[in-house]
Amino acid sequence: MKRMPLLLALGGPAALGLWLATRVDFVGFAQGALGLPLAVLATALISAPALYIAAAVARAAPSPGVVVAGIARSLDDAGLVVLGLLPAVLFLGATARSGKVALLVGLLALGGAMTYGLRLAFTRLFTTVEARVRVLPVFGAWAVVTLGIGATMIRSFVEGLQ
Amino acid sequence: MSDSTTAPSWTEPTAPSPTLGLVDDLLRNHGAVFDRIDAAEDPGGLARSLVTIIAVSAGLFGAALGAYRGGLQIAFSAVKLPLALLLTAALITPAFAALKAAALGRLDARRDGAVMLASLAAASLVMSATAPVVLLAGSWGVSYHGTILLVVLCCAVGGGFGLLLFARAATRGGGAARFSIALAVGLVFCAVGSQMSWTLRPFLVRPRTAQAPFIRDVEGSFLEAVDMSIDSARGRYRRPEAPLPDVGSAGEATP
Repeated sequence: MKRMPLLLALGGPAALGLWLATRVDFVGFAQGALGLPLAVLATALISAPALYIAAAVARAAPSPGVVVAGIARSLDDAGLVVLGLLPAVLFLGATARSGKVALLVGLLALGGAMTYGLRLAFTRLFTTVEARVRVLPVFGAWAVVTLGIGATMIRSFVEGLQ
Repeated sequence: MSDSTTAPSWTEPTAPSPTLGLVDDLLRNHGAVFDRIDAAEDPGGLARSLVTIIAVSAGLFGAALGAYRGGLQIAFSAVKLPLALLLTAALITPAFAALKAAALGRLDARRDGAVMLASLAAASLVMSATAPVVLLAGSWGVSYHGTILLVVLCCAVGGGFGLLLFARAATRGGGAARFSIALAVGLVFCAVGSQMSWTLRPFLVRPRTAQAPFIRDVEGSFLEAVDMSIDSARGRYRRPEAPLPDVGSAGEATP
């Protein structure tokens, strides 16, 4: 399935952000369309070098180019999953009484998609059993920190709008 | 008139109906179901058969729920329960297809949709087998809340069987993250399915309800109702008193 790099990575969160803008009072259209994709992109830019360094110290790192391509691919995968979850998110948000519940559902979907993308990145970047065993604790810690950074960025984005 | 050396025509085996054959495979030969989905010889016909199985079997179970109150509620629940299942399938199939496409690098929405429908058809068949139990509970005068718990148990049995078929299909053939996919779809199904059931309620109605609506007003989501119940359990109440049975359906959060 050939696709333009990062198109889905940014498109999925942008579509989710546009939906949240229609459902949540304090999220504007421009903020919804740009805020979530920027948060995802910024998180990746901040955390990607740390993954390469940590994996290299664990003597399991592929080349830097492979790491960058793998992370970009996993972001696209996560964006595709966000698009696939949109019908369910739209339904759950539309039938909730409070816009905050719709926001919570949307952000949970985004977090779940990103976690799934990280799961796929692990198997793509570290292809041998030996490499996976060696790097698993490091990758696990890096994934937790990365998700935490992403959550903090999105929280700041949401709180800044209220 | 049949010849004495040949068997009478009424003993000759007839070709089984494709839909009945599919029913048999859904219940005891999941491999044949998967082979039929993968072969893709008549995807439209397969989808129609699966939707028919869901409509009939879930409709029978819904009718049994409605029979607790009787009257129009039998028809209401017979229509709403298959609708709840099919709408849920429509909402979560894109998520299933996207998860698989991300892992495998190719999109096969037709196959994923067929797997989803087959899982729900299997669940509906087993649920319909428990309909006599629900009818018996109604005829024996089991309490409303007791019947609710019985219905939950029946749905859990049917749902478990459907989940088994889905898990087998999702993890079949290897591939990256297949268990993560099955788990993720299961979580999304629980969320969407519970909210869909909440939105289309009531299915089981107290017999003394004067006029049961086809669908209640949207009084919030299933998650919000759970949140309210948690607060109530902690002694934090959001309204002065619970609505009385004879006040009417507005504000009464019953399934």
